[in-house]
Amino acid sequence: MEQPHYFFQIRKNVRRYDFVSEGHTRIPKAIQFFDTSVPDLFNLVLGDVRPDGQLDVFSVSDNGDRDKVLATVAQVVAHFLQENPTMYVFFTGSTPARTRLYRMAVGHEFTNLVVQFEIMALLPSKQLVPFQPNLSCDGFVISLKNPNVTE
Amino acid sequence: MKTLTEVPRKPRKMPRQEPGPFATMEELGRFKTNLANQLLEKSNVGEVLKQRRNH
Repeated sequence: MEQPHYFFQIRKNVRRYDFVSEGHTRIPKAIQFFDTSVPDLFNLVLGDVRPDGQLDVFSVSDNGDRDKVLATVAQVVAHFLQENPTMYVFFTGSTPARTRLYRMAVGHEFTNLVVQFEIMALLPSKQLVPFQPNLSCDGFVISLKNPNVTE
Repeated sequence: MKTLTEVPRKPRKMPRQEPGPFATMEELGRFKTNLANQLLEKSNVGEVLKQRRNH
């Protein structure tokens, strides 16, 4: 995937990636991967760093650079999975509305994303199924399609 | 002649929809990962990933 994306800094020891969204305003953003209750499944946590240093829930659409931010998140996920090729990444929104926003964003970029990733959706019925745009879901599980292919 | 009495408007309540803000990324991480673990609980995700590993 060669879409324009932001340069990101990596802190491997804490599995954290930082970049700056430069749309209408300049918003530093952080991504960190945390262990979940499922072995080999890491939770992707996204945050906006506020001017006061506190962390807010990540936003992908408010700064006029949604596609570039999403491409950056995709690059970060790809980097993390290249480093940890047997692992999986889970992500969900902090509210149902935000999960719907993520679902729309993933659906919008689906044709680009499936080149590199296998994307599955966790349904409200707790079943994990292949992701389809417009499929209502509570979260997403991502893995690399081919761990040997780099960006 | 009737006079209209102005009814004072109730201030509109705009509750914050999103949680936070959080002091650190770790704090945000704990919140989001608790949420994730609740969603993963009783799901077939662990089983599906285990089967995929064995293939």
